Amino acid sequence: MIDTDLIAIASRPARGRRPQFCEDPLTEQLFGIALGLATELAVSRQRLTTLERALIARGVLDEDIEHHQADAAQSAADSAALEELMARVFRPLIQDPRP
Amino acid sequence: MSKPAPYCEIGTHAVMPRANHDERARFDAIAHAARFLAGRVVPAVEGAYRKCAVPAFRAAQGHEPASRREAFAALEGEPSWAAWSSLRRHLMEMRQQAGRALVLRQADEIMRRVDELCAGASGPRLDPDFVPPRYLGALDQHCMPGGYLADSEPCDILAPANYDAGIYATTGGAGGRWSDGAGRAIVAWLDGGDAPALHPRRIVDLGCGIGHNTLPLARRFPDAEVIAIDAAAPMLRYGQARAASLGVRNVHFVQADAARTTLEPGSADLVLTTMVLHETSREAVPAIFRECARLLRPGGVTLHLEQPPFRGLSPFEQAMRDWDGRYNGEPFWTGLHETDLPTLLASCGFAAEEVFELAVAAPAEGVQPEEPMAEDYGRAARWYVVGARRS
Repeated sequence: MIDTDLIAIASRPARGRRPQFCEDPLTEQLFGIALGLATELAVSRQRLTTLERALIARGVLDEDIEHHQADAAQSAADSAALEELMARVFRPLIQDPRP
Repeated sequence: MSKPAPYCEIGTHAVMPRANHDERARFDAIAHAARFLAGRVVPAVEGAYRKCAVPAFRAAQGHEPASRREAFAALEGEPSWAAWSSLRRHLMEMRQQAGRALVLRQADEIMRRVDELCAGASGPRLDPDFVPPRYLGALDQHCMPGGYLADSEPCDILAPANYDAGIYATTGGAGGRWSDGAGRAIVAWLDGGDAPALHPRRIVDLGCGIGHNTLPLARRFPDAEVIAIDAAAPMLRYGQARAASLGVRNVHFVQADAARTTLEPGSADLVLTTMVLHETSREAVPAIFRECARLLRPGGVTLHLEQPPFRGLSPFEQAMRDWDGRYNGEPFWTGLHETDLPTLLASCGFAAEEVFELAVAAPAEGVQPEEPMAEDYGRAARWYVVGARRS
């Protein structure tokens, strides 16, 4: 976990007027929140995947997953899982509701 | 859809921030989101533009969008365009937050390693009296908090280390494992049959940043002296340490204005900029071109790599390519891409017949089989080059 003071500094906004793409500022913020949630969900899923692999490979609970390296096949599977996640979370963007 | 290399396979070195499991996973998610937006959402935006936005514009105006401005006007009422734009901007902001948090939690350790590698004569040549060009301090370039000069940041290495760690995610991994695709593209062109044979004794990289694209040239020409010029001291310190830790000894990082180096005239065989001109002002571009003319010796070559100019592109593609100019803290982007760079270069100390244009691309790299990446307007590892050969 990162210190809350540091995440505040990390979150410093860029200077200048921020563009608003949605008419309602709340909608604009919701897009950011949805993107943040999708990303943190991906991080959590990756952590579970890594943990599962370590458990299967070693049969123990104390695998140091900070240093776990996925092999090529696992990286490809992770990549496919991320693409699937994006397609699920952002489904409304690729399904145009209009005829 | 092509895939970015996993973050655990990107190139690391002694001063690179060390990413833990979740930080790597977060960058992987951001890089994939960037590719998803380019590969899946942009086609949906283009479809909606043709199917809905253009007919609506035609109904109101009596004609189809005929200019970039009119394409923007048509897109601004289109929900899919607003959604894509909002997510693209949020993704940039999230990537900044992720990179800054990664660096801040280990800033002291990175600074210690930079100081070790830059001790004594091995450090960059900094100018304590240097006054950076005004255009660099006036804004936060490409949505980068604290701006390029980073003079209001809590620690010196935050901007360069964040840049180094996060550029992979910003580009969806398009630059390869060292984010040096532009440098490798130039090397590939120089080694190809169309380039003049060059045996450079001195190479000058103007606006080098942390030297991502400088090192492929330094490695390709190990006997050349490579001078990497930049205005920002934090970038130069980090870049010098990065080069040293990667075993590249022939690059010297020097603080100067790209338009006014103190290098002797006629001393360089290759003078280049990679994705730099669009960060400089309308006045600076011709001044930098004149500096290139001053630095080159006969037979020398100058190259300036940018995203393609707007001329000849459809109104829709121009609007997509001008997104950064409007929404991503790039106030000089629009003007630069509207400028006739060959004509400008020919008015800045080169003869018209010495000037040429090129299209170059980053060669594929062996991390993963590389399929062509979807066009991520303004981000793809394919570039336009304007150059000149001094006769």
